[in-house]
Amino acid sequence: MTTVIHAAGLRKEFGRTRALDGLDLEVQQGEVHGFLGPNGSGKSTTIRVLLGLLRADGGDVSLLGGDPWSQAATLHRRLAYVPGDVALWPNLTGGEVIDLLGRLRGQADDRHAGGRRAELLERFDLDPTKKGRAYSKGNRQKVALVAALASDAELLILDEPTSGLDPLMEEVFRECIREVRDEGRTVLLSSHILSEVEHLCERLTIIRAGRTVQTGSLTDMRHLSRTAVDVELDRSPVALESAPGVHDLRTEGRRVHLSVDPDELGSVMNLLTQCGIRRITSAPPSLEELFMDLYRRPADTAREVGARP
Amino acid sequence: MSPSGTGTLLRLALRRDRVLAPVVVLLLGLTAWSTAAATVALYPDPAQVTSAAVAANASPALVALYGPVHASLGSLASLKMLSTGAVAIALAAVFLLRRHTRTEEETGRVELLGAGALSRHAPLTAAVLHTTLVVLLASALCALGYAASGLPVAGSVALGLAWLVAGLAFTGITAVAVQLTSSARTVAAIAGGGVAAAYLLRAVGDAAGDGPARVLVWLSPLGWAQQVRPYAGERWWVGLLALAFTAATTALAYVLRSRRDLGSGLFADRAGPAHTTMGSPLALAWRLQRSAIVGWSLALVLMGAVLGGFASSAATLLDSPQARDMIRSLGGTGSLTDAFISAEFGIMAAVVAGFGVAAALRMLGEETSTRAELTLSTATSRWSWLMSHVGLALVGSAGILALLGAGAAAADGATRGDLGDSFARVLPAALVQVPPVWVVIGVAVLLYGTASRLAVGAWVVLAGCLVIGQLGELLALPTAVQGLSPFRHVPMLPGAAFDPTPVVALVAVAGILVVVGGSLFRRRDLH
Ligand SMILES: Nc1ncnc2c1ncn2[C@@H]1O[C@H](COP(=O)(O)OP(=O)(O)OP(=O)(O)O)[C@@H](O)[C@H]1O
Ligand SMILES: [Mg+2]
Repeated sequence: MTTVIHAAGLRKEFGRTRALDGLDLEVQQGEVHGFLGPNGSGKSTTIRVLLGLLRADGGDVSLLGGDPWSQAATLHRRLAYVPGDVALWPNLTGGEVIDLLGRLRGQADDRHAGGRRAELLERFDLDPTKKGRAYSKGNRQKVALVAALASDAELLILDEPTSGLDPLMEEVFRECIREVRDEGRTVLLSSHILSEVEHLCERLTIIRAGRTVQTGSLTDMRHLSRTAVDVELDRSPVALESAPGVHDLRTEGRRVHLSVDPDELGSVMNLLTQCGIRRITSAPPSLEELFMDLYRRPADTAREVGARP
Repeated sequence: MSPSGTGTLLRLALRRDRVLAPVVVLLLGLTAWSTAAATVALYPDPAQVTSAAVAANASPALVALYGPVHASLGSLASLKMLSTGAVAIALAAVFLLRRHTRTEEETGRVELLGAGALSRHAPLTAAVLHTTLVVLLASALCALGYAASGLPVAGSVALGLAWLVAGLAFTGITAVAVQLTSSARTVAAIAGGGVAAAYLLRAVGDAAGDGPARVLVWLSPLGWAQQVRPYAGERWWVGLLALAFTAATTALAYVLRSRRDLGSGLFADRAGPAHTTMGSPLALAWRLQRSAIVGWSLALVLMGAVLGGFASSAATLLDSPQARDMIRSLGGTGSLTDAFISAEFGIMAAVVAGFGVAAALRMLGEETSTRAELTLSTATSRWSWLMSHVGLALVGSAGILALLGAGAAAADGATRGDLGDSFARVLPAALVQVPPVWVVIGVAVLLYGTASRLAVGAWVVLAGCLVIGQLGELLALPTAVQGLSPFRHVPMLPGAAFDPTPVVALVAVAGILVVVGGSLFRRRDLH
């Protein structure tokens, strides 16, 4: 499997703001890679570095095997980009923008692309004869999406592409991305919508304050997070406080609430069994909890979690 | 925050324009003051005033261009400020009002603010107040400048009032235009077309002398400005007429605003083509710039025709030694007609440089709107993107100057009955102004290439060239300072001999500026 995007220790400063602070990102060919992080964490900045619009202050970066800064124009023939907030030319129609972007990308206007363009316009319910200024935010986004999806680019870089789409269109978008994946193309998808990421992405990278805090497949990440346990025991528990892997311990007589690190789940269960379990509920971590946890945690501790195998 | 948010928006507008507004006010005010001072110095003898007025009124072209002169020094001194000065302040009003209303809506910033406690009319109210303030200050400065030059105070105040009349009337007209269409460019076309129409009505009315077409003057807000009659029996009540007009148009704007949605116009956008064959950065740049280029071309060919039309009568018009001196200092030592052509082309070249800077800085608008990001995420290289816009600015400005020259040559040739000779002499005089215009464009490219926030500095540079050109002699600026303006180095054709050295040097400087600016642009971050 080849690496389509590789970034290691990426740094970028804007004056005194440190937007990227040693960010790592690795995207393999053929995957839909989720890119998440709180507002201002550096997702768009990373993408703009990948597009050669910004020059990184430090770190390594390669895109489709080339240098995104010095070989920008050549590499751009092979990718399509959808910005989060699409600005169109007020006096150009959506259809004109789609054609223009396709040609500027160096795409031949063959029948195949023409057919796909028409089909996408239909699916996204987009009127290509409206002037740029007359489109709503969501429709502007659709123009850029159709332009990107109609191309035969091997890499799609999408920065919050669905922030203006209604649920119906969001569903169309998901279908399109699945088709793109089935064709073996690669997608980098920055998003704040967890269900979207959950449905589309095999692997994801979570960043905070310009650093990667977690990267891997969703299943791995679920495994990495703590399980919440609520248990009623025969005897008052002993030695739980000092047991490794136990967090957020609360004891009310014989009822105990705690959360357990995945690696220590077995040994903690042993401890609890010794006290006689009467009733137990355990909740697997929800995706939301996982993200909230990662988003909120101070950057350094999060980094430790990220460093785990 | 006031309940409607008008106060907040007004403060926001003042903050946004904290550089722009003072520059507009000072530039207009200083131009007025320098014109007053210069004219007063030109006509020390009352007899000369009378003969100059008679000569000026005898030329229909001049009367159409500037309006009739009344036999007073103040009237002679305020001739240009009552005509072209009023046009300038009207255009400033159009520009400012549009900037704070339709442009804000088009970019979606109002929507962003609208989430707060903004009333529907607050943006319009704030923009009208802001524009009025700027117009008022410029008018006051104009009045002060004239009074300070020793002209009668009442007439000077009336001249300020005339500016106010023009500025306020077009504030009202633009307020209406803004409601009609969702495009800021179309607003500029409508309101700018309104200014042109007002100027034309006034010109035709004035040229009609005492004929029935005279009444056309009263259909034009620029005609009203002139009818305040500074220094010639002031008619103060015309101010009330303009005030009533402004109140009525502004009220209409509020009514229209209530009938439309935010971001849309009263007239729906027409649908356009679903396909295009456009496929290069140059084609895109041309598409974005073509209406501006066509508009400028038309305006300048007309301007050339007017200038050429009375170039040959310039000798009789400028019937004072001081006036001859001034024209000669600006336009060289040839015949007075030649000097006149050279001087006027020099001024027009600075205006065309304004087009060139605006065309080159289209890139800035593309960058701040993030459309450049979309274009540059394709196989378009930064160099070809930049060169498309810059190339269009360079070729466009050269073409516009050529049209200015052709218009002047055709009119001059028709007047004198020798087209061939006119083209041979007048067209090169216009074309020789191309290199300094290119240098100014080059400066804009260099600044933009260095950092996008520096790009507006190009306007400051252009304003500096204008000040040197218009006031350099008057303020007796040192030669070294005057030499900073590229326009100073052009051979004063058609009177003077053609010296290729400065022309070639200016082209080389422009080329270096563009190449260095382009290279810097390739190395910097895009924001
Ligand atoms: N051109 C710029 N100049 C100065 N600071 C910038 C610039 N661009 C981004 N930043 C700063 O860099 C940081 C990262 O911004 P970025 O846009 O990459 O975040 P993001 O993860 O995309 O956020 P969001 O989820 O809100 O889109 C922020 O603190 C932002 O303020
Ligand atoms: Mg972002």
